[in-house]
Amino acid sequence: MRRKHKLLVLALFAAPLCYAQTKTDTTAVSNLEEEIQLENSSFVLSESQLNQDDDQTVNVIQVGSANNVYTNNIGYLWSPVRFKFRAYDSRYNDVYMNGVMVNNIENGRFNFSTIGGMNDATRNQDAVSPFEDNSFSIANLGGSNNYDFRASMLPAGHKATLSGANRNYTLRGMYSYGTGLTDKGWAFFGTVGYRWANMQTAAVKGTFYNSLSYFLSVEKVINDRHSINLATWGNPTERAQQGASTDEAYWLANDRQYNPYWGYQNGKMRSSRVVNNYEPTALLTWDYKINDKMKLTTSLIGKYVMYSATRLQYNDSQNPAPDYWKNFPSSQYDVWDIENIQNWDYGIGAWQSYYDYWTRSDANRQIDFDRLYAANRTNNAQGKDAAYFITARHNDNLNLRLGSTFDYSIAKNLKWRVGLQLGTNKGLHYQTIDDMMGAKYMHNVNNYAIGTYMPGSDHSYYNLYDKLYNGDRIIGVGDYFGYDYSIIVRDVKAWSSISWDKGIGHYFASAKIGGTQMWRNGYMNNGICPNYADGNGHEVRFSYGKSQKAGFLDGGAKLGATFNLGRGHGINLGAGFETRAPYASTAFVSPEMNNNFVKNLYNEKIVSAELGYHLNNNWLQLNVTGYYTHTFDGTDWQNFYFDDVNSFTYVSLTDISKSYYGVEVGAKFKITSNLDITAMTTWSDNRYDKDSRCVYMLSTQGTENQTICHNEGMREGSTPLSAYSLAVNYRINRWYLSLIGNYYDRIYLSYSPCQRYEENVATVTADPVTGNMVTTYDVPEQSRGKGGFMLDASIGKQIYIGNHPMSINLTLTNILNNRSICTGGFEQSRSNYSTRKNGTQGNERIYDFRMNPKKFYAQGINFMLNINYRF
Amino acid sequence: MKKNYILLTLALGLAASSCQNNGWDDDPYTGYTIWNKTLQEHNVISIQELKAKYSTYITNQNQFAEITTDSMLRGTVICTDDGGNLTQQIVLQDGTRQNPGFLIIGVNMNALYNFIQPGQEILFNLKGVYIGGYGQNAQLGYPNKNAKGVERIGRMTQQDFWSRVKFLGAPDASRVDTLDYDAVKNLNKDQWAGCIVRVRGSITTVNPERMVLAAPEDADDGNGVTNTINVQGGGKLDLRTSTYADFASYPIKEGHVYTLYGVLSRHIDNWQFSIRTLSDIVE
Repeated sequence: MRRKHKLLVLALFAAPLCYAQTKTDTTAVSNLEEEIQLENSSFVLSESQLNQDDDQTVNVIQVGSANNVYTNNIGYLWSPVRFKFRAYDSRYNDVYMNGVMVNNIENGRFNFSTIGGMNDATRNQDAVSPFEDNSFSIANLGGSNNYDFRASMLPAGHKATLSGANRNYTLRGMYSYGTGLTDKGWAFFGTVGYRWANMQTAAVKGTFYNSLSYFLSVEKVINDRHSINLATWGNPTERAQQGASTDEAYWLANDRQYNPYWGYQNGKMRSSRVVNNYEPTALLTWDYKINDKMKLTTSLIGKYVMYSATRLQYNDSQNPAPDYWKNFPSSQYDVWDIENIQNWDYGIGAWQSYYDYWTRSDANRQIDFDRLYAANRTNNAQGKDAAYFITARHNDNLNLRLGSTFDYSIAKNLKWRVGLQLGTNKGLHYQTIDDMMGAKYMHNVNNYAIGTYMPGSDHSYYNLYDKLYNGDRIIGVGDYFGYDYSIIVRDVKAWSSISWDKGIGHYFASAKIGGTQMWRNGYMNNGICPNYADGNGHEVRFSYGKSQKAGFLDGGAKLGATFNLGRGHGINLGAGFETRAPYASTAFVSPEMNNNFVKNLYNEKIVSAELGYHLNNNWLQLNVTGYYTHTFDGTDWQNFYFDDVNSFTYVSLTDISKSYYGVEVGAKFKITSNLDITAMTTWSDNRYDKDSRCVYMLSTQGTENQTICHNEGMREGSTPLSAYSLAVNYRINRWYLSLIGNYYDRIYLSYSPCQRYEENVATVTADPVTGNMVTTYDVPEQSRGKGGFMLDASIGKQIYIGNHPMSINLTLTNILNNRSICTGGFEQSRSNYSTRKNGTQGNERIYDFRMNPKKFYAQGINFMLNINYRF
Repeated sequence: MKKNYILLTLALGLAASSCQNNGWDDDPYTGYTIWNKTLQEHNVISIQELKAKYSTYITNQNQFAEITTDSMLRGTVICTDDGGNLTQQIVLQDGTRQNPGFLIIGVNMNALYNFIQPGQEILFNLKGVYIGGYGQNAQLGYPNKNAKGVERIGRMTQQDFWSRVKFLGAPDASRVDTLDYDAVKNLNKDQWAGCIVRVRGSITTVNPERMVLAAPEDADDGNGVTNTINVQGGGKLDLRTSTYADFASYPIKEGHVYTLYGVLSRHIDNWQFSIRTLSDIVE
């Protein structure tokens, strides 16, 4: 009898284990797939290949919807080329955490790298595409995501992960532990991770990666109605950047991953561009279940962003960039136009001399730090300011946001949600001296302005108060240099959404309204833009002190419906109109210098629509979607060193009008229970519909120059507009195998506005017949990059050590080692002729800037090996 | 046991996460020289000998020749591009104070003064370099063809220049002779063009409405402005200033007599005077 009891007990225990085992077989493989996909998602991959403007933010969109084969896979399949969903800027993708929006208030973008290295905490998210109704927001143009950081929702148990890769980082270790919800109503989850590569091991020479990540979440379920969760995380990261360069540089270096940002100092490799980023964040969430039909979720998030990016600067000296245009062979002989009058035999000799220098050694095509130190020693001996020094551009932010959502299930098929988002942000923007590179002297002086203004004149001071109160102050490491200001933004958004089912349809309607206020506070009285007294004796705060405040009221509405046509067929459609306040990052003409807002600053207007068809049956999941989006009254801003006139320049574009349209197809064929094939394609286009208004300011003059930027027909850069993919996935006996072929095409580079200023493209001539003056325009074609085919593969296996599962997966990307796929880049903002100081056109240069855009290329064959163990 | 794993992981993470971009100034490398340490002095000729040998190439407009003989110059740098008025060139002097030689070396490099100071004695390897005349000033460099198709002596690459140069000792500013313009003005331009002089006089600007040294609006195609020095004691001297000079916006007082220091070069048959730095102007 006792034996029977034992057998019965064993059988009872064995039954769920058997069931669990069966279930684990399928979930194990899907976990493996999920992990492989997460590791290869765009927001995990690309942190180094960024333009100057993208310094702080990985400009990717993480869109996803389990209901759509296409959106569910693009982040994973097309990340190696930094595919942008519908070519949208990432400011059109909203990211929420426990219901509170966390995009940067100043520029609208979310920096995915700030949640890197904590993969087990970020796995749990709700991702929706642009016209999906959801419980936390009105989805943005590029979709929205809501991370669930509640401890009770994060995985229970121990998990250790060890990874090796030849990508941004070489090694990664992560450990996480979760309790799940305990009987006493507590839940805890924590994870710590470290990612590392040094200059010898990183895939891109001259870069390194050094990042520690932590995440802690504690939840207390107080009773059936209330629970409180506190989460905090951060990942102090130090990483060296990769710079884009020209095809000529890649050819000379025989390496499409050539990186001009590093060099040798005393035989050691040193990067000139190092990013330090740490954003300690705390998130407090209160979930209040009012009754079975009503729920209120409220989250308060606070974070302090510490971000700095170093840059090698030069002062009245030679540009130290190894890929500066004058260093190239093609600056001596025009290889693009053999008939150029400046070409001759001696030019070929000079070309050869430059070629030989570039190709003679690795060091010759990198920064020569020893030389820069030597220059500073010479300047020390002459009592001069540093010729070379490294500055750190800081973008710190103190951010506080509150998000609250009330969710009401009015009836079985009728839901109503209303939400409020409040935010305040103080962005501290300043530049400090990071390294004097052996120099003894440095003044907070605008050397670009010297020549136009006398040394020692008021105009030459970045801060007139330095001159007035600090004398001829010598600055050093840690001191402020060039600019120091803050931008304060406050915003409030209220939204509401209602969804219901009726007949074969599911419908939703939503609307939002918001207000934004912003101003600048300058901490330097810039000598080019000094405060002054107006006719009534009142001080006009041109650069020092608070600017005027700008306020914007925006809002919009969105409608959508999904119709189930039976037998798995369905169509979905949606349309929306909204206005959006301009972001503070684009609202000021030259925030590094003065308080002026951009003129013609309006809300951007957005009209968007989408129509889709889907089919879901036993062997096929198919999604076909067409979309159209029109934006107008947009604003954009950029700054760069404008070598034409030896000055920094700030460029504002307003009255921007763009159209985005395209077709997306995703199909998943379930061939057998073990085998499926996923096919995806998109053909999209986006264009500036008309020329934009432009205001630019030079840091040597401080006056605003109005012009027209002839950007009609330009396209969004640095993403393929056509992409095709075929993936075969096979699962058997806890093995997962995947082979993926992708083809990318129609990749444009970011256009240069200044190459298209009215004065640079217009020619006025007299009509030979009528004698009337006729203006003709020679607008350069937008530069393009080359696409191509890429083959990727993944293999994964789950095994058990004792009762504990271990997953091993290997991802190989670009197996065919196709290094000629361009992933993005930008045109150089220079003219093919020299510009005299009086603004007139000087001599034609041999070097052709239009033929030499700066590009990034896809990495050749690369891998990631990932081993994790749950216990 | 699990706690130990956690602590070990944390400790390893923290230990490994030390900065990778620190300590560069703790170990500055001071043994670097931009110039060529391996050059050995041999077959030194004087600037005057060199100019005599290639005089036809110097005096005839837009001609140049390659120096094929294995020879060297030994001289002192008396002027660099410090101040931005003289761009991408240095002036070399040798010989004696009574019988010197002067020569311009054109280098395709900005801010040479970051590496070479006035008073620096150097060896310069001549073999393979080109010589010609720029406004009949003798110049070493490399042939250049401009956008108008004009062929003439231009600048050598910076790599080529530094491979030909060896510094001899430390710079000594006292080696730079400053002569009185009055003492030089009637001397042979072929020999004396390139010397450093002192001149006193008032300045008449090319445009009386803009009383600065080089307003961009007054610049010619060469990005320069030519004003006139009314030399005290008589005569006029062209004062050439680049709009890119640090002191281009220096305000000129009408009728004021300045003491000016600078390079006396030639523009064909005329003397031309160029201020080097702001400190060359004494009110």
